[in-house]
Amino acid sequence: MAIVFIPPQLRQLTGADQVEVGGGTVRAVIDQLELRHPGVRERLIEEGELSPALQLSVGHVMTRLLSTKIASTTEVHFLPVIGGG
Amino acid sequence: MSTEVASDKTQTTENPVRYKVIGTRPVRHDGADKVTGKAIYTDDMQLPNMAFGAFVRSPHAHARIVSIDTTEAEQMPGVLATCTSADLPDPWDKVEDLGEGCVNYAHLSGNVLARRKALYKGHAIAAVVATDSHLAEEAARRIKVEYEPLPATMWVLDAMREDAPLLHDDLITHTLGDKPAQPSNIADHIRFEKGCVEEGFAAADVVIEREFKTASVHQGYIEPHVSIAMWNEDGRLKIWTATQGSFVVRQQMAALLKIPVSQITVVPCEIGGGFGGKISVYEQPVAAVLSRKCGRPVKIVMRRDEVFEATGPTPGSFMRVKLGATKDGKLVAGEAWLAYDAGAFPGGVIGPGCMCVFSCYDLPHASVDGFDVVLNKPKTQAYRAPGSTHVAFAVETIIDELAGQLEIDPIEFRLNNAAREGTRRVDGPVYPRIGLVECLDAIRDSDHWKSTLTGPNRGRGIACGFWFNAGLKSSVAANVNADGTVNLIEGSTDIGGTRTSIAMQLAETLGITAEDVIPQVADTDSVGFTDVTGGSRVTFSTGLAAYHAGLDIQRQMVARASQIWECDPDSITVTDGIYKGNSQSLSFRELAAKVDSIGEPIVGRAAVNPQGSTNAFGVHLVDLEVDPDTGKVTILRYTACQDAGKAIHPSYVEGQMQGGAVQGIGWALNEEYFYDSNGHMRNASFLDYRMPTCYDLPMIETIIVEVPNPDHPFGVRGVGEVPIVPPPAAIANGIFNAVGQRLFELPMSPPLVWRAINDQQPGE
Amino acid sequence: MMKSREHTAKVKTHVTTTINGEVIEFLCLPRQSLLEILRDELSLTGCKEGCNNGNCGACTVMLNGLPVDSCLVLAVEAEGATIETVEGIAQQGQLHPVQQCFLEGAALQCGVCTPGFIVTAKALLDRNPQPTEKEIRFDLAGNLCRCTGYDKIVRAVQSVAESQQSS
Repeated sequence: MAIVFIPPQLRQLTGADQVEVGGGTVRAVIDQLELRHPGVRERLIEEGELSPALQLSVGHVMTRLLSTKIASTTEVHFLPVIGGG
Repeated sequence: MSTEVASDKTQTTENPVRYKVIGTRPVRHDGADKVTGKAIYTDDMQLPNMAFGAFVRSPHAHARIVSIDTTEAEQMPGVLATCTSADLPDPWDKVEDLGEGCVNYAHLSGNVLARRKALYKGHAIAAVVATDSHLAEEAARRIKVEYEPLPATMWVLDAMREDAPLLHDDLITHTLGDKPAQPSNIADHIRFEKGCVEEGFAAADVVIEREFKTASVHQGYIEPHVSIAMWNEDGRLKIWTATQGSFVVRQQMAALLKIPVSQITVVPCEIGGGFGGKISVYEQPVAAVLSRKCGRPVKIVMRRDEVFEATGPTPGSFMRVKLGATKDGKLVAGEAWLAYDAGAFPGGVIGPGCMCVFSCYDLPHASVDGFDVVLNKPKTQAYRAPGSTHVAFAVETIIDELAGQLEIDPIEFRLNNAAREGTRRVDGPVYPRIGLVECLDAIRDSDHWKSTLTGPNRGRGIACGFWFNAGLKSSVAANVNADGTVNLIEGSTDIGGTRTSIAMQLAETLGITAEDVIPQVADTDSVGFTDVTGGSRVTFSTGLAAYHAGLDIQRQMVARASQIWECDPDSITVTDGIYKGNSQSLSFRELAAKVDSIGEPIVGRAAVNPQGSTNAFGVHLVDLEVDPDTGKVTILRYTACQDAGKAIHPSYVEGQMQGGAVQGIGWALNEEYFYDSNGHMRNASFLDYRMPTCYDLPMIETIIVEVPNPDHPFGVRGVGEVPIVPPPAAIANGIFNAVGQRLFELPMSPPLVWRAINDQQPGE
Repeated sequence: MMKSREHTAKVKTHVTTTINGEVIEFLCLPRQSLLEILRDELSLTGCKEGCNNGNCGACTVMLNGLPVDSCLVLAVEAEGATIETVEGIAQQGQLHPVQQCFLEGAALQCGVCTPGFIVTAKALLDRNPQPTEKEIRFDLAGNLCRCTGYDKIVRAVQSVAESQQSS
């Protein structure tokens, strides 16, 4: 069960700022979100991968892999990509 | 990845470990070469039959390229070939994850050699290769380019206007919300929300809102960009280059030239500074194309003015920030509106700017709007904690103002609101164990803070800063020699002494001395994939790989000892490099000598990809004096405090803190891209782009705080970037303390300070 | 007139000079700097090109006993001169105290400015064995470093002075 923090610009689609969603991976979670709130997936996924402008925080792990596993009550955040220097 | 470890090695706050190697200060392995001038930097390399390339660059800030005529140049004796963007394949319509941010190859290609339009003064239009470098420059002057100048936009707010001239006709703002219908210069709009800001501000007793402006600044590395490309007749391409990431260069070259990565070898020579500016490719693909055309190795060295005008400075910015607090000094709400230059192509550092703006504080209600804006300046790149210095300047100034109005000590105010383990960031995630509070405490307990500052026009300022730090991929291999030394092969280009801190982590793991580890930075054919040296990741991530390679070696050594002693491997213990089993005992060195004659060689390996931020916080304190007649600010005393998690080599941690602080001081007081009304940079030299010299500064005192990072066995946090974040704000607060005037613009150069003291508007 | 000026510009001058105690001969064009000849003709790549217009000091060498930016010296000016580069500072396999103190004091990070600093610092200490911090900073102000913030460089020079005082 993921606790997905909905980016503010998507809240018009979901109506809420946090949504509890089932799914064993991030991809499954996004699929579930799409079922409930159509239009969300195309904002987050491009050509089957996470949008290049985004990265995920899953628990404390920063990743771009949609296959990242979700344990119970894991927080999922969609964040901008960052690079250091 | 196995987690077996001598548990006595794992550093935690509750169980601080005393190490034998970690925390000591051995002389760096590459040191003798560097102090004798023997170390080979890319421009030191000469290859047989080498030719030299030079660029033709746009004299206009914005122009359509009508035609390029290379005939006259090509006819000059000694000129071997020319190239333009027509010689680069059509770019992939592709965006790739380069580990540290994504790159759009169409944009990268267009930046390397302009297609259709020159988007900034200095934008590369064409290049030429000749038998010597002077001839190449003369030939470049003979390449005739016809331009149709277009109006240029140089200020971020101007570029955001609806009537602003567009750089890219097809640029539609990326947003997670509804995309706009029309193109603009706004490449991205990011938004964060936490709680409800209206509610938050309604509950505030004091609300302060300020606007801030910052100018473009450059990383200022002393070594310019330089590469040698050799494209052989068998199709193999070898590049010697000054880079922070040889694998990342290889990826970019493969994509831009449309050849497989397996055909490319990137050899990282010693590098003379990077700070984020030597990750993206500039001259490498051009040198490669010219080499293919002329059949000789081609060296291209950028001139200093080219480095300023045509590489990747950090953005200029406009920021509007509002903070509200109760009269007890509790922050209740924050709002930020941030517009950062992207430069000529999208993909600037507004993302991390938005994530860092309120990162030091526990804010129940906040909103952030950030805009990535294209304009006619060189494409921006990372500069040490990219985007964070800007927002810290804004927020820490307002924090200082709030504390002053509420008559609360500035350290107390920050402690009352500091982010801690469990604080939820405005962008969403919750902090793990972090060390901001410890840094604030350390500054409060410091000699500097306790000292009294006396004298007219003198003031004291304090500021905090944050940077995430990355993990990312690193690979190492380590070979045990018969004399008990270990050759460590790693792929992290060494900009500041990291090969030694990585060697120290391997040495600690094995129980040997740092001198007995021989580290080497290898090329892309010789070591496994390793992400860039940047993001403060090397000591953490490549060090982690070295640690695991050490455990791998240890397992093999134990197995070999069990053969020699004819006992069960599980019965063998290893402590501080002493192997004990079956009533016998051997040191690592003794065992290494024995195993050389039996069994396979002992080779340790590890590949890691730690995925977390190591979360670095810093607090800086400055005493300064303002000259009321000239507006010049003199730094009297400076203390940088930072949570390093665990300082592997304290001298180099101190060095990072001092170097970053001084870059921040330069950013605060003098450094800026000074553009004229034509969009031309007028100070593209070290004379007028005024970086701090030795004479401008006092000693930089350092306080290393160690709150171990739970995600690293030795507790390492990245240290390289956060020191550049607090200085401009600390200095701004110091100036206010000295002369009662707040400045909201960077740099706080003498004319600006003078006008503020004399109560004039800028431009009067 | 034009023809002979062009001709002159392409005729190489023969220069005889002394570098690190050795008599060296080279050919150079009038426009070539000493930096270019040292690095590209004589393979003395210790001095570095950071800016080529005398603002960063990475190209510092000693010319007739004075530290100079070799990018601002024409190669023809080396005729009859005595030049010392960073390559000549360590003697017979032994690091000079300045070099040793830089290493022990971690006074370098990327190292590209280090040869210039070593030459300048040695020149200072040869002239003034016990400089104050201010004198050190003043003399080294012509050498830019972007990595270290100068703190450990100044301390390294101070520790050379200290060790020479006690010896």
